[in-house]
Amino acid sequence: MEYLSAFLVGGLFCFIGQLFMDIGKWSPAHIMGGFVIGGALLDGFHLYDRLIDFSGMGALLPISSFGHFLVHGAMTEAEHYGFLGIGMGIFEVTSAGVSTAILFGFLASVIFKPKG
Amino acid sequence: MKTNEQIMKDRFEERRKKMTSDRPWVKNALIAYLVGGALAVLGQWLFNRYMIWFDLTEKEAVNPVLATFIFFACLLTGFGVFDKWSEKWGAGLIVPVTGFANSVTSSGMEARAEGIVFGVTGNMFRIAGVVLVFGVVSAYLVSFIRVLIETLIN
Amino acid sequence: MKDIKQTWMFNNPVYIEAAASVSGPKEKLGPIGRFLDKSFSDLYCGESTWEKAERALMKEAVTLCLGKQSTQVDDVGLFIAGDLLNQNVTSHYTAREYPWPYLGVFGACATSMEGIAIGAMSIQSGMVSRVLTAVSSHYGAVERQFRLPLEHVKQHPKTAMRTVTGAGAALVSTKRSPIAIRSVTIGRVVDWGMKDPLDMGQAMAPAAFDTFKKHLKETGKTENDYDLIITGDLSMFGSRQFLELCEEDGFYITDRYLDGGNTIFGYHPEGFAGGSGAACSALVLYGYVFHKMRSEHWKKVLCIATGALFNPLTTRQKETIPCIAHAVEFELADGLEE
Repeated sequence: MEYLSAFLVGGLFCFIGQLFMDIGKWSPAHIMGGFVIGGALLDGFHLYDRLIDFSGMGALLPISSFGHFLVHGAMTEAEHYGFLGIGMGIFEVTSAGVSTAILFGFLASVIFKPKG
Repeated sequence: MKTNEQIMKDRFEERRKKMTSDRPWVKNALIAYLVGGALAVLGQWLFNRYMIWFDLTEKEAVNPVLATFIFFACLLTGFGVFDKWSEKWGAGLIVPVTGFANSVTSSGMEARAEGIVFGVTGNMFRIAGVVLVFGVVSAYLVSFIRVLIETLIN
Repeated sequence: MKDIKQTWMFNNPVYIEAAASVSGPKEKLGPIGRFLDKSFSDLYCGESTWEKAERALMKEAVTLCLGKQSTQVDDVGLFIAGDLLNQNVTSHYTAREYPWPYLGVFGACATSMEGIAIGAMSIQSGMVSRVLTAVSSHYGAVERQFRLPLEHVKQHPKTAMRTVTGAGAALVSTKRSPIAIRSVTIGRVVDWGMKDPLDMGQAMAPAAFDTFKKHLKETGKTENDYDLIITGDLSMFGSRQFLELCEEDGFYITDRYLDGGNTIFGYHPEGFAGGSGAACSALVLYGYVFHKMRSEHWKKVLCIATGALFNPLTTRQKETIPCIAHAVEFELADGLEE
């Protein structure tokens, strides 16, 4: 059952992304940026958490979860430190994802050459 | 009264619209749905496995799963197959974190010839910087508004 | 307003003494692959970066071209070269290795004919007797400079064109040879307001048409005087637009028309609309068309090389793409009266 919901929601995100690409003529960079903003906004209304509860990885795998995690980290710290906490906590949850991307990206760039 | 040249331009534009408008968006969108869905199912499976294998809680297991996807996206980009797959599968590979990992790696790889400092490290976030900047700015604003509302209510 | 002259006819014929074409691996597999002088089996051409690979291509083309008629290096009086990279670096770095006076020219994908036109005109003026022109482009280097990183996720629209990897060199001289240059038409910059850098073919079609029409008007010829009219790299959509524009104006050339972009990778390549790039017209013309002319398959050929004169910054700043086309008329020298 959780697999089905993951499939449905994860696919839906990509479906929407593809529509933006084909009909809106967005570039991949626009898509990624748009989804991150969308994730952050949805989390502002606590909607993204429900989506994750429902579909698990289906909502966590798309890049929009990055926006959601940023807001989440900021809000966790803000509970203790108020406005100051936003800056302190914004990368709290996402740092693992960003740092792996930087690490593996760097290693791959050094090792591989573009194939064409 | 239109000049001769203007008439030609109008006809040209008409033909151009006709020739380029039929992008197969239904087919592309369905493919993206299937690929994205399959990736999510794979992620869900890994998530369940990781909880058993490494004895993790639900919260702890999310990051290793994302890291696995990022690792394989970087590796496949390095082997030069990722851009060929994305040509067919489109947003199915761009919307998941794999797209982010790919944009970091591809920009870095491309600039390898200019050395490590001005090449790789300077260029890695040429495209992926969009994600970080938009993410932080929008998250900051959203959190700020939420904290503001909460302080006002209390 | 007075019509400004764009066409120069050559009374004393100027000849193409030799021409050489060198390509990358994918072009070799295309229909004209067997007419090319040399093909590298690897996109890196034995070098470590795309830019160096492009230099290797151009160097190879120049060497082969000189070798064909065993021309000595000091027989050449002027070197004219161009490519697509920023500041024409490939040409400069190639010219560094030779002692010739050198002119770097840029006409985007029209550079090949621009070089030949300048060369032929300087020979006609009597100042120099042998001019070597060279042109090159490389898929990896161009993609990187004009678009996104090569391995980046993307989905091309069907109008996108693939840059041809290759280099061509031609030796223009006064020495009597099978192929003569009869006239050149230098194009004007034409801009019909197209903005999509992934649809250059259609942006360039009006420029090709403008030059074609001007050429016919000023030489007093009709389209039927030519055995072949070849455009540089309009590709699938651009060449269709070009034919439509010609038909609207009353030129029916479908039976004698060829497009370099459609030819180089085959007529219906997988996933893109055809070839583009400075080397596209050079490979098709120097490799295939000249071969066919020497075997008297075609006697009179008009080559219209087209170029989109944009820059990655201007397209991001939402500017339209200005385009240019240069035409050169080639004729089999046997048909000339001495």
